[in-house]
Amino acid sequence: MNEERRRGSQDASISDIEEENETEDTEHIPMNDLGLPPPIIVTDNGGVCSKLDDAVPNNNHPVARRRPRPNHLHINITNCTSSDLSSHESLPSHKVAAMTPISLSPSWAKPHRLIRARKASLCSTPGYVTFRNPTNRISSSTYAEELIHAIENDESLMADSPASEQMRLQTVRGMAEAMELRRNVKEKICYNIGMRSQNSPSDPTKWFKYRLKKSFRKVNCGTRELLGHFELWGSTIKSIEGRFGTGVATYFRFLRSLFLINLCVFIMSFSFLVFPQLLDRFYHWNNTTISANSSVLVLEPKTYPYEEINSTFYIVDLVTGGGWLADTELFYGKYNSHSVHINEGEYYSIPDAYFFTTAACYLFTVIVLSIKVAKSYRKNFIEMQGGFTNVYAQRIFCGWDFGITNSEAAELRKQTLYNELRELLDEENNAERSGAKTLMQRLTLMACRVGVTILVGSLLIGSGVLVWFLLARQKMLVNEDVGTLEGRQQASMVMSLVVTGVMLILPMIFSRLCAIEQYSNPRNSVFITLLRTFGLEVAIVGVLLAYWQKSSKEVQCWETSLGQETYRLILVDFFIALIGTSFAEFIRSIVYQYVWKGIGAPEFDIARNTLNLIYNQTLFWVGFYYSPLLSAVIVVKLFITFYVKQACVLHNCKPPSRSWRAAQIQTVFLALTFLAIIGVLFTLGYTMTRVPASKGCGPFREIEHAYLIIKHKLNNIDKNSNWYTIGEWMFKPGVVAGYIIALCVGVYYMRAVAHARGAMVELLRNMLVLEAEDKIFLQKNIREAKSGRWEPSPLSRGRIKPLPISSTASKQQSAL
Amino acid sequence: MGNKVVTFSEEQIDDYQDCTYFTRKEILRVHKRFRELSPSTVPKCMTGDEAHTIKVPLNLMETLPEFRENPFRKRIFSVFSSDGTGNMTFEDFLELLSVLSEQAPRDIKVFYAFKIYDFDGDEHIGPADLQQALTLLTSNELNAEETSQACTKVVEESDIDGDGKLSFIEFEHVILRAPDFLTTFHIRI
Repeated sequence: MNEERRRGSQDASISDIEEENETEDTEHIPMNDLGLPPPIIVTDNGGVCSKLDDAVPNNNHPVARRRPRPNHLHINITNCTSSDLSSHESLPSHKVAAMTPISLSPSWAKPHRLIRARKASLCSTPGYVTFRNPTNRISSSTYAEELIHAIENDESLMADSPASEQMRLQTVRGMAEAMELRRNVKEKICYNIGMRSQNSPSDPTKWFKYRLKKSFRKVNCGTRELLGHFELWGSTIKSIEGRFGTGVATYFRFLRSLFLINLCVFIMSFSFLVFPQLLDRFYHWNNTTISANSSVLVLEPKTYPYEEINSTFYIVDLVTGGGWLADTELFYGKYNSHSVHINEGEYYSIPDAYFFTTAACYLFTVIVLSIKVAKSYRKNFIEMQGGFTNVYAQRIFCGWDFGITNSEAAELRKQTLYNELRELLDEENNAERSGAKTLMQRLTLMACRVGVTILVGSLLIGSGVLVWFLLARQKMLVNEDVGTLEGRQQASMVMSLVVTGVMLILPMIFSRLCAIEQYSNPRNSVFITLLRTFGLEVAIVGVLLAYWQKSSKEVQCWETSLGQETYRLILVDFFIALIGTSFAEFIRSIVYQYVWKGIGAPEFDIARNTLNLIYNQTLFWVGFYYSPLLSAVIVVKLFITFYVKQACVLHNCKPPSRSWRAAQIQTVFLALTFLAIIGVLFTLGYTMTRVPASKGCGPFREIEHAYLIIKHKLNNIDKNSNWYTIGEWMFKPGVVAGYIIALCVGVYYMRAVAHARGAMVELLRNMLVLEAEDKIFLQKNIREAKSGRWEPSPLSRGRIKPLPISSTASKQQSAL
Repeated sequence: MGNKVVTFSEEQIDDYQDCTYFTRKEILRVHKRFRELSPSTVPKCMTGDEAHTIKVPLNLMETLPEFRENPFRKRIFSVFSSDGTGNMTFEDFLELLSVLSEQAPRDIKVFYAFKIYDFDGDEHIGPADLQQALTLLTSNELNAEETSQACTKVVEESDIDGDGKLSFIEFEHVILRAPDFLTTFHIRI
């Protein structure tokens, strides 16, 4: 029977009270002097106390006293919500409301106590006080008294330390009560604490630390407020969110975070790398004689800083990146391989600076992105357990975006919700009617999908081959001895134009193809299209890199050529993809408004735009090593992109018709970006170690491979110093193996813990279902017993006894 | 320099900062918006009792742009108002915005969401509550049969203890598995 099952597992102390309350009459619950049952207060260590003076162990509570209780079973009152009590029709709802339990410690403190009070905290939510007195049966001051006493009984909340002050703050904030009540409570508690600390002398050092922490927190708060003042484009994004929903706003937030990362990279690379090089170009040291026998080195500007560049400047060069621009600091080729004279006797080594600055910039980007990805994954996947089971409930409870401020968007949102619910209901009804697909249908669908995948694969390979062919042709044409200047300039643009065109058209083809495949879940089709477009990007960028690595020996300065390629690609993408598509959307919206409604208003395609951003960012990362000033280009480009897209969205587009699960797709985008930079870094590592640097240009012209810089630096370190011995020891093979093993053990441990927790959740869920069944069974028995129809089953005869009632409880009962 | 009207006393601002999830600047901004609703009744200086006595009626509260389009606005205001009618004092309004702000933790948002969706106030979200919510959400477009079918489906999906309605625990279970709750249940002022 149920009782035996429960006794067998002592951990399962879920609501012994629940069962108890079913079998008793409600009139035996004692009332306090105000005519209401006392609030049952659960403090954080699992103890139960009623109000005021009974702030002591379980055994004094009248309800608890009725059943002798072994020590290890705690009463989990928080599970005994008023749902059980309200099933008795005799209790009016306000009484029920006042009986609902309070648990006062903040929820974030729970994990520390879990080990101590594991059995009591099976229900992890602190039960907030559910209702302020709507009928004003208790005056608010008495209610405040009760709350204050409850708080004071919890030692951890009343201690005079910064941690418990934090907890008090959280408790006060988390109490779902009227503000006035909370202020009263807070004032009285502070007063009491002040009194207590006066009475008992406290440790002066602890007091000092406490004051320090408090002022530190205030400073923290102030800086956060100040930073919030400077949040870039905050109000703009908020207005977009109001009109178009959270999905479109996530695109703009992604754009903003990429902009900020690139801005930091630009500042770093400019100050450490480009600036010294520019200094060398514009100034030089001159030995001026001041008097007869002394001379001083003075910094003087050069008269013709650009005299060493052979070609003349054409405007077209700005677009092609060739000609005059090729010899400036924009590209790798110009950087010195020797040191630059900064000050008297101090030299700044450009090759070292180049290597270490670019390494630092990449590292910075990787760290920031990995933190973002990890946070997003944790928030959206792990904590949500990724389940799809409650589709209806989620549509109703989380369907409305509270941020919508525009009536048009609100109408659309309602329409969207209606459509989604209709779709779900129709699917339900159709599934019942038609049953599973026949074998024939399934086979055709499978064949269709395989066919489309092969088609897409061949398209990807085809575009890769096309890019290779174009690159080879271009290399041939750009060779200086062949053709005219204009011919060379045109030839170098062809590849960029073709690639950008391919990147625009193929994704549209992919999304059309996906419609043929008939995925049941529309999110799956979006996901598949996303992956395919990303594959296209990888293919194109990969071919670009591979070609130039391969032909590194055939061109004089291959790094500059690669830098020029990426520069051109970024610029052409700016003109065509950004300005071109915005213009096209503008035309389309004008046509829609004034000429012909059938064309449909343009819609902001979040996936396509975000992938465009990722493509740009990948190009930047590929090209940054070969062209440090590319960071300036991309920062300006992102800045302009924001304003163009914002204008485009606000004036041209209508809000999206399909509800966009912003949270999970955003994680996917961040993960793709992260994957892109990891890929770029691997390729860069290969380049630095295997591909020889050009002999004629660039900071590494005297070194065979770029990574040898580190080697030279290491060779110059004093072998006898302490740092060297420590460093040497840290990188010994055995020690490194030790690190890797420790990491593996750590990962395995975390995985085991997660697995165990998942198993526990499953177990508890099953127990919950069983409890529900028990409850239904017992309720049925109550009804039958009340109407005299109850027959004990032969199994239980002789085992169900009336529960022993202690004398004091019976006296209270008789007093009512 | 002229007379600078002090809106709140220092003690009040400290209290509000401690009791809500707002900073000083945000509290003053909330006061400005509150005052814009009804400049004649809400004074600039609220150092006395005005913060919890002066009420702005429900029809004026509904004109706020952030709430104008929200189908649940009447219910939200009645939940957060101290007398249950929807007429809000400044402190009620501050609390409303604090709970719906970004810094409020998930627990308190779930708690208040439960209260909002529980239209009849019986501490359970029953089929009647769900029907009312659906009607508000879709502006009466779903017909009666579809509405009841959807409500049955919700109860079927989420009810664990078999009483035919959702208690707070069950509601929380559902919300924990929804990735969009925090982003949708959020108003920025």
